[in-house]
Amino acid sequence: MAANAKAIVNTPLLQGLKQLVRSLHTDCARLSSFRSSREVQPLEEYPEVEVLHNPPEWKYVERLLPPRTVPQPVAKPAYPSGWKPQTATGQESGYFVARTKNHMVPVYLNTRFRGQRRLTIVRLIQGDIWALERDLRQVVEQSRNGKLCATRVNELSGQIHIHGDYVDLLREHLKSKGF
Amino acid sequence: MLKFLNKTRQLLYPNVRNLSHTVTVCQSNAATESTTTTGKETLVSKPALILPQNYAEHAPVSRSTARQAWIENVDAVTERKVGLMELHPDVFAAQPRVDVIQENIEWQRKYRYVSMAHTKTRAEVRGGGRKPWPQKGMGRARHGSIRSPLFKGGGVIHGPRSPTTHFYMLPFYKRVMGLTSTLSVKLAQDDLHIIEDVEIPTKDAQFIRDLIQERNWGPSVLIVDKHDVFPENICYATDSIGYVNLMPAYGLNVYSMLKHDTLVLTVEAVKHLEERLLYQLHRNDAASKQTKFKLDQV
Amino acid sequence: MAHLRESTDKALKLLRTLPRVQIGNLRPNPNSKQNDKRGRAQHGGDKHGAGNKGSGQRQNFMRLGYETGNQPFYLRFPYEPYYKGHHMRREYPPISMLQLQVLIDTNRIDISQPIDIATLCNSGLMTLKPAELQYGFQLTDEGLDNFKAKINIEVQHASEAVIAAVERNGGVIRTAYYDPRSVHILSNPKKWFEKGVPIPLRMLPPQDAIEYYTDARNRGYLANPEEISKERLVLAQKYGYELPRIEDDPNYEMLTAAKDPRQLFHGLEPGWLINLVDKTIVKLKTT
Repeated sequence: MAANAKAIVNTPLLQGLKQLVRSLHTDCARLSSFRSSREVQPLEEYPEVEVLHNPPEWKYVERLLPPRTVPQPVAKPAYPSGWKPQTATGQESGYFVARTKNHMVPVYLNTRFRGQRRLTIVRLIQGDIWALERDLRQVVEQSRNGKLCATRVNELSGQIHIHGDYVDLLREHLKSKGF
Repeated sequence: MLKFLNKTRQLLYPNVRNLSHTVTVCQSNAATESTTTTGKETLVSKPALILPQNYAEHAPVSRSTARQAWIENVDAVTERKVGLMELHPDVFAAQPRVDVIQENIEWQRKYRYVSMAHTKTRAEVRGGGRKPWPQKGMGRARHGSIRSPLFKGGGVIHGPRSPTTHFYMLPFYKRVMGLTSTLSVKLAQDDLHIIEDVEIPTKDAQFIRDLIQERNWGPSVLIVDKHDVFPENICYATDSIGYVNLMPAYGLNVYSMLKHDTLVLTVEAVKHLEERLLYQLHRNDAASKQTKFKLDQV
Repeated sequence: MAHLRESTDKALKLLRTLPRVQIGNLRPNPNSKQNDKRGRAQHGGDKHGAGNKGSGQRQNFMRLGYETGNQPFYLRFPYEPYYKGHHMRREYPPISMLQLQVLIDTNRIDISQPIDIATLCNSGLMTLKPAELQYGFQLTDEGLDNFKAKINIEVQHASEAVIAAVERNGGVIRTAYYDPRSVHILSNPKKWFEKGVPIPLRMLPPQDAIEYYTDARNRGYLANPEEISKERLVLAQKYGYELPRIEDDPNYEMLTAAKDPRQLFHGLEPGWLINLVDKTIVKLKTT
């Protein structure tokens, strides 16, 4: 029985098929988990396949592969969503608010105590953080009809915390200043 | 001002001040030269290795703060500036978050630490099965076991139980920030040196000792190359010196960088580190790295 | 002039005058560590916020909703099963038109190609969890007035206003069903290709979803195309815009690209095997 099987395996056609099956079933299976990969069936049960190098359909595959890093935004005449590319360099104002790696303005809302305390956090500040704090506080106090607002500056990590939810206000303000 | 203070490390040299504008011919020469190792005599006539930073992919906020560092030789004990390298400010001039460095150190200490401190509970202490004296009639306090925690020699309540793992995972971007902060701190404190390659001429450990003495490195030095297979000479030379260690760039970590006084990177390692760290800072699938750490994750 | 990165430079400059940063001279930020031990007696021992006696101290609170003997509020009214079967319902996480426009403006998705689940998930900003019965995205109407892109998009659920907003700009919208396995594959195609498994067939919708996806008003992928073009006109008249003619569009090919109801990826047929390493496609031999 064993000799018979060996004789079948040694025929050149089956040899080629075996090579193919190995490249299909062992090489790729290494990437999947051992448990999820199927056991190798008798060779006759596999359909005949052809391997296409540089097929015309490869462009559809490439379309499905994600970019490695976040793509740079391209210049457009208009941005209907309200998003704007950063234009300010911070040279005239003395401070600078960098964009995040997703090209967004780093203004966030932090809620604590089940939403009872809301903090607006401006991140990624460089340069004269105290001047920016004065500017932002003025904007916030104007929207509060002159009522004072509490802020906290962390110079080490380049953050300003503002008491209350002023995310939209400050984001629009920073965008209007080109940050 | 800062640049003036950094004069030992950074350039005050008008011709090559802005490396991006240097001639490409020089650059291509340098690139070919750097790959070929030549003898000592020819090295003198070799053009300077000028390596400007390519900002096309990951532009920093402000290029004016880019750091420039000398590339030194290691083929002789005497120091010679072989070239100049521009370092990306997001990696080598990042905000020195010493608090994040400390968190990294603490994490590196703790994640592999298993506490073996152990105490026995009242059930595990030998004996104590029978009631020491009757419940009533003795005029003594009631007790059910002589190994109760109230007794001398009794079990311990809420004592340490071994093995207790202290494993936890620091958030991914804190680990990245730890690396950039530490590299920036090392560069700012003149403890980061860039060398051409790790090809030293002898297997003699005295060469390394002299080199460190001459260049005012160390005493403890961590030498980092891109690959994990180092040339034979430097392996033999550093083998017997406990305070000089070799490390591939993929193994670079905050703890080792701070454990050694001086960090010595090869040009290749610098490029590799910049590439990897900038990739992590700009990767598209960053959200997948910010999920909760699972023990069985790949 | 204030130098940009002033704080960074200041800190780095300061470090030059300080002793070498070493393992031995680092310490955590002040007050960043919280002591997890509760001091006793003279070491700060008091009530520790638990109050004096009672359920506050002993943590033996009454069960939720218990009203010390009254018929509880939650039992006063007859049973109304609002959420019956909620754990079995299909969930379509929302993405708004505003989000979609932001993705387009920031170059996160390419509108010169048809948009589907894979495009949205590959942007790295959205995820789908088929294990939590998320069956795809629904396009919601937030920011629909500012939507200006001409796209060919395939989502799993869309309202009438959204459909009108897309078609007003000369785009094409289609709602299509994907079974959980297909959603799993589309949510990270690269990872799935690396498994080295042939592309499976996409399943047909379950019985309760057939009605939605065969309806031309929902632009269902199983609806009659002629009815869809009729409904496009009807919707244009209802919302009062002139329907741009797709036939005259230079991107006609892209705008009309659609998957087969059993097809998972654009241009790739079920049964093919994608090898990302060798850049080959393994197909069944056709004789």
